[in-house]
Amino acid sequence: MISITETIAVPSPRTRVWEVVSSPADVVSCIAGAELGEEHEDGSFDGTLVVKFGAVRVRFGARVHLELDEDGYAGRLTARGKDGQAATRFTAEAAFRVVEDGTGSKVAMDGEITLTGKLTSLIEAGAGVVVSRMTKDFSARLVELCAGPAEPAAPGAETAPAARPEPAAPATLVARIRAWWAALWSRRSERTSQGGTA
Amino acid sequence: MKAYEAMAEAFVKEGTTDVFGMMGDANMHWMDALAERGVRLYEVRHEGSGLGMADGWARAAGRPGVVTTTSGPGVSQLATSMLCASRAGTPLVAFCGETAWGDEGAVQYLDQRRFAAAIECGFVHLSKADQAEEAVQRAFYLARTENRPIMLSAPFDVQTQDFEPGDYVPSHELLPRGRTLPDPSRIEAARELIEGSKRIVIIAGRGARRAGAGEEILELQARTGALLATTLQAKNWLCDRTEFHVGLSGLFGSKPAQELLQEADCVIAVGASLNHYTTEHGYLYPEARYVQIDSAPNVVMGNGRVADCYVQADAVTALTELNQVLAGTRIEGFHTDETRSRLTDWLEAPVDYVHEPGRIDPREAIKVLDAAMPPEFDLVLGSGHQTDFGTMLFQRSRQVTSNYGMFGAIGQAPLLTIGQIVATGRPAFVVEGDASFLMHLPEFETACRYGLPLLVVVMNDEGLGAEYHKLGAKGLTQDLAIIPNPELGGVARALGGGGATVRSAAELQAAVAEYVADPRPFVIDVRITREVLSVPYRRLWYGEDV
Repeated sequence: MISITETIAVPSPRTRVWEVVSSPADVVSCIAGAELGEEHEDGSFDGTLVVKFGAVRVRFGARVHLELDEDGYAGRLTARGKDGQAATRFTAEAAFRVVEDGTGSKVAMDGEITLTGKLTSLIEAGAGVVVSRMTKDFSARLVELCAGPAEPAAPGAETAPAARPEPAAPATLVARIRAWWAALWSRRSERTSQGGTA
Repeated sequence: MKAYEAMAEAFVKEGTTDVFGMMGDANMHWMDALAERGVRLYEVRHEGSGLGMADGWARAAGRPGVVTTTSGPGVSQLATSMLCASRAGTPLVAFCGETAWGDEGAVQYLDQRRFAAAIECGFVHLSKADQAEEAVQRAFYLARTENRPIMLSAPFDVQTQDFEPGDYVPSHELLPRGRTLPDPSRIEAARELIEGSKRIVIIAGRGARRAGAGEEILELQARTGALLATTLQAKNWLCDRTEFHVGLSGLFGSKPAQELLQEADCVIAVGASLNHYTTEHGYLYPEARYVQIDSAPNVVMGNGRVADCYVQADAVTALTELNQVLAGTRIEGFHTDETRSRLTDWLEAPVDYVHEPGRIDPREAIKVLDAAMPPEFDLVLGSGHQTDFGTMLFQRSRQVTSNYGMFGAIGQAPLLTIGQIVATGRPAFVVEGDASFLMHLPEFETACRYGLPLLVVVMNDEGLGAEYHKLGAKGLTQDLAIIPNPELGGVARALGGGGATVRSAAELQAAVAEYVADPRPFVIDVRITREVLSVPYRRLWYGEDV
């Protein structure tokens, strides 16, 4: 089992941060290698996540549930899935809460990931390190995304509004950065689907 | 004739020329009878070590090795080495004496049948003297057909009873001869699968090497633009024959190898079981379809599945037919300048060696050894953290034996090397850790006694290297794994061999040159730094993309 206990300082108002962390598409856009899939009637949705353990790239698919407490600025995310070889299963649970912190906010996360199956012998303790690295990466992206204005969902998210505009000539710095991420993600997705080496 | 004499005679007819072990009351008659028949007896210092040597002998000779013990305590010493041989699929026969039949009160009594089951070997019992020949034949037949160790347990009172010899038929005459031909429909299915692929990887395993299928593999590789990878058991095979040799498939593969292999859309395995080490449970080939050529009736791969196209056949025959049906096929595949660069850049990149006074960077030590040891000197890879360096970094084409994954016991590799040298007559060097070498140190004296051209390179970090680094990864006290030891070069000289303790690359080169000039029992104690973590450990414990 891998535990995640993290408090992320975000220099943005709580309402803006909540807007992001309560949007599956935005949250997914903050996780490198993640893509959002189909949304189901019960409000859950499919997601995929490509993780590199050492040089080996593993694609996980999951059914994700997100419960939100709008008034309390809190939520709970649960995911259950398996990898592309169907040799490893995982469950993940994470509770999060957005609190005010001076002029900014803090996102407190507390979660656990449990891996069972073949992969566990392959990655030993390295999995915890990989998750820790991904958490840091997520934090940086979250801060970056919250710093921008509210926008349609992130690139690569299939449930994002169909009318999501392709920024022809991004005007602001934030928009340019997001456009760059969009292009990068697009390439990653293509290459991964070919068993590629991105 | 006595039963023990008939059994000795039968062993000779089975092809036994060398026997490792230790004498006691319950096997001395049989050993005496073997000696009379010209069989060479290698007296060792521990029965388990003798079994390790018989294991190495069998792997090199390609036929059953033989170890012997007396009853009870002689047998119980076999445990760890027997498990290693069993996991390695080594055919061997352990001739074990037994206390008098039915005397369970005897001081050396052991329920050897139950013990054999626990240590994963087959069991044949000599219950009556008139079964003497039959028991030997059955033990060898099982060893050959099941590819595993068999304990032939013989009460000493039964051994000394009279026996009327018959016409002994050696077990190898009971085996089918000729090659297994592939089903033509399977060859056709393989052709279709291969022609529909663009990025092919051929994985050659121990079976392909034993079958002598090298030329056929290279022809198929040229036709299909394939990368050639090997399993650990065939490490470096054919690496001097193609520039598109990617090295090992698995955790010990280089970073470019692991990246390239994940691009494969087709894997052709030849004489390789594709166990979970080779395919990393299938994760190394996420998009690939599999063609598998093997002589076994069926193989379940390390990902829990069977190949998309399984061809049961002798490797040479199947590949010859496959090359014929693919005669018009030319796939560029991986055979591009870009792939060539990715494979060579990794090797040519400068390495920032760790400089610690009086200690060598293990990567530099392996580089020196690989360059200085002539290719006709066989290599055996040992155990522990240190073996990761050699497993990844030895690059020259030579006969390589690895004991990785065979029960995970330390200390076995020098024993395997001794047995291998006895079988081949060729000099060999083993690269082993200090704890492993010291575990069976007395057997270096055995090598000296028989004048074997054995070089033991001790990668000496004065500790349990694997545990040292795992303790670090877990935030525990690393010093608990440090175990100082004396200079082992001097220890080797005291035991009757040659030896040197080296603390620099230049000293290592000089010591290797001394051994190469006059191959004899020799130990080079290479003092290595503990500051370098191996690539597999960096991947496993820290998730590094290296």
